[in-house]
Amino acid sequence: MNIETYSYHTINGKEYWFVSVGKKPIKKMVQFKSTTYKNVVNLGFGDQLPDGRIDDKSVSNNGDTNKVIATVIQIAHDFTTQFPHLKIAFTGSTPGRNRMYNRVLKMYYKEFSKEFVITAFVEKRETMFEVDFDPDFSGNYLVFFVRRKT
Amino acid sequence: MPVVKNTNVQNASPKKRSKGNLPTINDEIWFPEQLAKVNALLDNAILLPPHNQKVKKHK
Repeated sequence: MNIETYSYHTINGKEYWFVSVGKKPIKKMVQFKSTTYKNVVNLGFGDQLPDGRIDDKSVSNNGDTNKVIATVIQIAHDFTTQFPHLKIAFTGSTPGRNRMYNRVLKMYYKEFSKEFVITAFVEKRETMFEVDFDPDFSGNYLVFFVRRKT
Repeated sequence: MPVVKNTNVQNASPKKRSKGNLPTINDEIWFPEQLAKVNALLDNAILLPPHNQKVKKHK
């Protein structure tokens, strides 16, 4: 992505943070955590509030959404460089955030798909199926997955 | 390119440091709702087969 990113930091290669410097400084937290499914990790993302609590539902409106998303993507790239066998799952903490992830994946699909295999969950007849991400799909994806191409 | 710093536990927040000398931060789940949602969906989903069988080598 040809979008500027924030510098980020990691403590152990699975937890990252950076500071969004938009209208105000906001500490952004990213954590990769094992799921119940082997080789699938969840990417959790949210803000650290001034009191130390972590909030994944706040809408910061900090005026730098693209830069924040680009930074998270850069972090995912960094993580999958360390752990290329792991598949990253992520979903929005709200429907609106999920739609935003969908928009970003659609917008940069050509670029992302050069390095990542992108799949997602769709619900059909009350069953969840993993399918290849289709940028032209008009329905709702519930969870997204990215894995580095080898 | 962003600067990636492998910070040690001394650079973690005071709350994290107070738990000990080792980076125990890794044991915490920062986003339990997101993780629970993904786990619940994974448990009842039909996943695509692995695209690359080399994955098994990392077990």
